Amino acid sequence: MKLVCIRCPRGCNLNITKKSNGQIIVTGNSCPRGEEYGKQEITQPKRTITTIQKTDFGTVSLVTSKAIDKNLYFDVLKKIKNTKVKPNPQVGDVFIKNIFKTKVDIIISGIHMCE
Amino acid sequence: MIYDVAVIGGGPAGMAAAISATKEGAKVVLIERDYRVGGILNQCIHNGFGLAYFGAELTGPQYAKRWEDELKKQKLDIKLNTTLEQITDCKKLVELTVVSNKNVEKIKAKSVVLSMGCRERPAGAINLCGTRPAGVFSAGQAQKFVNIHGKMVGKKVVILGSGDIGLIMARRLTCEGAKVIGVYEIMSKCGGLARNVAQCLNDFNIPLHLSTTVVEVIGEKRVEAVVVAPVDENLKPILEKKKIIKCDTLLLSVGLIPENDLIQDFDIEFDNVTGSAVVNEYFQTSNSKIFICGNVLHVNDLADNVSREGLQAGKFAALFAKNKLIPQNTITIVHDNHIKYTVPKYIHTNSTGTATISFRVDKEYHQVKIIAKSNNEIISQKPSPVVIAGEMQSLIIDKSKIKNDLSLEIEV
Ligand SMILES: Cc1cc2nc3c(=O)[nH]c(=O)nc-3n(C[C@H](O)[C@H](O)[C@H](O)COP(=O)(O)OP(=O)(O)OC[C@H]3O[C@@H](n4cnc5c(N)ncnc54)[C@H](O)[C@@H]3O)c2cc1C
Ligand code: SF4
Repeated sequence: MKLVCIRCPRGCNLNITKKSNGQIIVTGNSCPRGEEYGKQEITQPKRTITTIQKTDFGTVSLVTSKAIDKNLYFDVLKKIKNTKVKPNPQVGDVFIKNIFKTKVDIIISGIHMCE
Repeated sequence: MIYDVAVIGGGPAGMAAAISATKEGAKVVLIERDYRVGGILNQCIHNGFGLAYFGAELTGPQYAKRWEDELKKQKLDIKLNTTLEQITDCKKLVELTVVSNKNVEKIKAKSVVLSMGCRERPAGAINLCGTRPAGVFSAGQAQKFVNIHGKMVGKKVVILGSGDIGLIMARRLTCEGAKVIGVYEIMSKCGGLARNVAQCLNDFNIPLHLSTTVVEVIGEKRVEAVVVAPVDENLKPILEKKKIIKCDTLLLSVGLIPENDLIQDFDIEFDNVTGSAVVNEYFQTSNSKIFICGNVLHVNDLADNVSREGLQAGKFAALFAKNKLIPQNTITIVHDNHIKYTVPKYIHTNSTGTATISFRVDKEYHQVKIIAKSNNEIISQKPSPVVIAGEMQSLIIDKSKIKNDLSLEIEV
């Protein structure tokens, strides 16, 4: 299978093959992160999700603390939209802890006031 | 009061410049028109920043915050909500006219670092036929509406141009509930990074139509549809094959241009390829008091590189202000025609240390060697499996090896 590695701007073209013993071989990567990505992507694809939640002053931007199961993408977005921002949010605060029991937190990445 | 260094713009370039100039012992003022520093990074809420500089994958706001925290540790003046309106050359000093929400002020400095970033090519820059209804945005404008103001721009969206900001916004608008009908690109190759095609379009089944463009906008008050057509090899639309696509919003992601209006009325050497000033390896322009870095110098694809440029520019601007940057002989870096431009264009001879030469190639090449030669001898080289026009390249040079000339070549 052919894939583009998304772990850095270089975007290496990965070639992924599965041996009969189940071993996964990744080629075309320029660094170990590519191999890790290739293996992950054909077993259980994960993505870092970023979005915002509105507040009365503007928005807070949000990011998953690490990549999360891709199948949960829209569930994560929905859960975030249904969660209110507490007063006086700070960058680095945990917005949602252990979302869907994945051990991934939703973190506040920025506070944005609109003029 | 006379400052040693005035830094204009508090994006990644300006923050880095202000930090390094202050660390060099200079008296520094940083001028930023927004209510905060961080520049365009504040609205780039996606991840993918900082890998080169911090070895961590950060979002734009997180990357900006790391630099802001470092900036706040330094002793310097930061003027927010303050816009530079005019630069005047007063022989030994530069006079800056700045406007804030309180007053108009003149600031004097021995050297200036320009780091005002870039702006997007607007709709007017790409002859679009049809009406002028609401619902046409540049991708960055839409990014600000959605991410900073929390306001959606539309429900059914067509994106013209496959620059990275357009691809990022295709995903972003989809996540906010819009239907992104497709991305249309006049060229036969995608303008943005392959990773953004994978994670912003393919993940959401958003089609990318190459060699296709928008030829007309339809709608009275609000966009009602756009007309798209494939183009021939001369990029001329084949109107017999045009198609009407119903939508309420058109986003343009058709390139960035340096924010250079203020320097254009200044007498400094200009480069038509980058659309900005020409510099030596100190990021110094032909007016020795003026330094320039980041996207106002040449449009970068990585914020990490912008920060590196800023660190250099700030340091040398401080050295110049303290009379420690002795003028010396420079030579022009020549390059072959696979290379579109180099930053810097000039470099000092009889010098020590290293210099990074950044450049862009004209198209895609495979299995190449990037070579720097002086006096017909190779002084630096690096193999590269692939170089593409969309990705800035660089080569590090040991300056002590430069004789009386320096040339940069791509061995294909
Ligand atoms: C809409 C948009 C989205 C982008 N998205 C990405 C991305 O996803 N990833 C990426 O790596 N790169 C992205 N880029 C490129 C990005 O601009 C650079 O990576 C980097 O942020 C540029 O840094 P800079 O400091 O040169 O400019 P900027 O970050 O643009 O900072 C310039 C600063 O100067 C200030 N300024 C301008 N004029 C004046 C004036 N006259 N007086 C006072 N202050 C002034 C501005 O307010 C701003 O804060 C994007 C660019 C744009 C335009
Ligand atoms: S393999 Fe390594 S270098 Fe290549 S895109 Fe992935 S992370 Fe980047």
